[in-house]
Amino acid sequence: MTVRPPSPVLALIVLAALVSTLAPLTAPARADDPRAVLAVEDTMRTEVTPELVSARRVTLGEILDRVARGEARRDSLLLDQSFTATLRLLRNTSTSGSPELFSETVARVYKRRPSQVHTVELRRFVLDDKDDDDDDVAFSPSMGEEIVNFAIRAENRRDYRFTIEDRTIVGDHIVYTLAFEPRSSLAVYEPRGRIWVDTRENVIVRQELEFEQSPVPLLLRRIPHMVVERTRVGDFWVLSRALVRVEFTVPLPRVGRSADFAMMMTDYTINTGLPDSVFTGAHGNGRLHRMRVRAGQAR
Amino acid sequence: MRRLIALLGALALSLPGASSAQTPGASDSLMNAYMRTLSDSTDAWFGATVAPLDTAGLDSALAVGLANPGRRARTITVRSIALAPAVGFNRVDGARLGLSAASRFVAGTRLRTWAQWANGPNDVLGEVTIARSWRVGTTRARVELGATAGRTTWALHRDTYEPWLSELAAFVNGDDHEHYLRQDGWSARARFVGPRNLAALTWRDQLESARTTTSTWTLFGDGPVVPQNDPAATGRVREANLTLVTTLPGTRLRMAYNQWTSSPALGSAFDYRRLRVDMGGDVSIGDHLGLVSQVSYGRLHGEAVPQAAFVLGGVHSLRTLEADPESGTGAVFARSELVLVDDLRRVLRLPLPAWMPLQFGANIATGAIWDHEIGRRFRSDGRDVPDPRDWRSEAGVSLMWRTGIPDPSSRARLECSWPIGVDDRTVTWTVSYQRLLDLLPPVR
Repeated sequence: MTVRPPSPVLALIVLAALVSTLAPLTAPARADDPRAVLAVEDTMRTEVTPELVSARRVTLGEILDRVARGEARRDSLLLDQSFTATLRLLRNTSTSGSPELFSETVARVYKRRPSQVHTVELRRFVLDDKDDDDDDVAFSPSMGEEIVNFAIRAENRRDYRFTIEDRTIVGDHIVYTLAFEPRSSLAVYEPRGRIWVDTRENVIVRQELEFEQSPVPLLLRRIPHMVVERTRVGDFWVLSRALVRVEFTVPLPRVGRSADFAMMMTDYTINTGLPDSVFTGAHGNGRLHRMRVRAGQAR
Repeated sequence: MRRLIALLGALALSLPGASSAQTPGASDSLMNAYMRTLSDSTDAWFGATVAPLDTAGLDSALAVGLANPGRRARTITVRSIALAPAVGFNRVDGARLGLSAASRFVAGTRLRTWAQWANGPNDVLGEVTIARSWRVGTTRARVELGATAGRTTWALHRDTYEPWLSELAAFVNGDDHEHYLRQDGWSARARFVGPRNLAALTWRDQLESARTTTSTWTLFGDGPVVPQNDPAATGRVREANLTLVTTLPGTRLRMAYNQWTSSPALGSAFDYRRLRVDMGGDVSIGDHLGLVSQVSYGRLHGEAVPQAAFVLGGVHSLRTLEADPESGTGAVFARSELVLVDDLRRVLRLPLPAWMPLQFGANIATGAIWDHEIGRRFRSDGRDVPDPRDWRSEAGVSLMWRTGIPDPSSRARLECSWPIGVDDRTVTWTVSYQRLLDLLPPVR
């Protein structure tokens, strides 16, 4: 284990803090002492020569182009990945009473280019499981994470209007917050929101979505909040959570009037060279199987 | 504590000379702290939903799962079979009673079948459909193959037929303006469905025959609004259909191209080429108004059989011609609708529930149809544009309730239309259920 020496600046700060803490312990100067100093000017002053910045400021269009390229580059560098996916449904989340876990499915998902995906179901829980419904949730073999970048994709970008909402400097990262909304005023049911873009790698690191009107008013009363988050694993930003809260127009059987859907990905491995055996079925013919996760029934 | 560390780090970086000594690791930890702050707000909002996962037992479950990779695929062949009643009603079949069954296979293959007894002609109808789809690589595009065989009743005017709505109207008060024919045979199709594009090739080999009205019963009312059923030309149709739907490059305008070809060279009893092109889109006018425009052009060359004709009139074209639609070998139609985007419940403070968002619209439409003598089965090789005297126009206002089913833009419309020009049309009230761009097929 290597212990790095503390930064000199940090050492100075700590030293200053220690001195200020210890100061009251020293003998106070007497007022009649001619050497006494009653007040000390502690404001640091400096002057810098004004410099006119002539560099052209990056435009919104350029940011979007860079993000589109950054997302495509990120996608192209991903050769394989595996992660633990947790699909969770909680009911009674925005009405009176306390939220209650309704179902949870945990699976280990393996993906490899060009289009292989294998899912191993690890756990399934459904509250009051009574029926035999057989709804499946399939994981796409894609590693492009369209749920994060759908708005800036080439095929969708002309459908949205973007604006720069904020810019934050975090270390040597510049994080832009871009707001987007449907270009068509008639698309009141399409998502709008904001994305956080790390311009060092030009990838989206977070997205918040909202809906002016429900896409399906007859079934969904409203969608109050939706968040999609990425986390950094090695050199890549990968999807870590997709969370949405919905309120139903009429109470759904066994679920009620509101629910939270959560998809959480943890324990990523990326570009580790997943072996063929992970994707090969037990038939012994080397055929690649696309497995599915059942979400909705305990076994 | 985390925020204190971040603050100290930021202070250190802001001091002169510090940035040059900054390491990538320190910068990344700052970024992680920034992201963690955002995630904390998410955690606070969603509460128990984002509780940490209990990992007990997951490792052993994974070991078992990896040791038995093909277990489920080997044991399951049919995923589910769903049975449902299949009922229907129109004036040529009367009441249809039966059963439908649908099953889904592991590899994405679907099988669907239905059988009905029609009490009017005392006949049995039914179809079997098998379809399979594949994802194209890792994209959202899909390729679908399917085939259908059987005997069914279908509409003479194929472009705008919506079985569910027509049969409901026929059952309730007989307000069904469709005309019907019998189809016996099979069809096969291949489709490519992309995020923005659709391409489909369909081949059908069906014996088409005329039907007559066998039932005048309705739940309310005095019988069918249209008592007779226009006869179709009887013959075996072998027809190829090419459909292309795309968004015009650089615009948000969508276009659909359809070409049907039936020829004796293909073994068909009829010789025609049928073309239909639709285009539409919307533009925003400020924050409160949207303009939706659609244009449609259709032309039939060759043998003018009734089942290949175009029709003008009805909820998908001129509403003032709904009671007496006209058919011909050439048709053109255009409509522009100005929609108040704001929810009328909020604007007018109406005490309506959240599931009933209302919008107001005003539209103007014009259309023309030519070569009306469809019933005579003449050969149509004449003009491709209408005569100025063929044009009819109208204006209307509508109240729209967007339900979002099956498409987010699907809506029920109550509309009042006024004819423009001097002819025998009158003010017409219509109730319909359609998408905003109803002349264009949905791609997704």
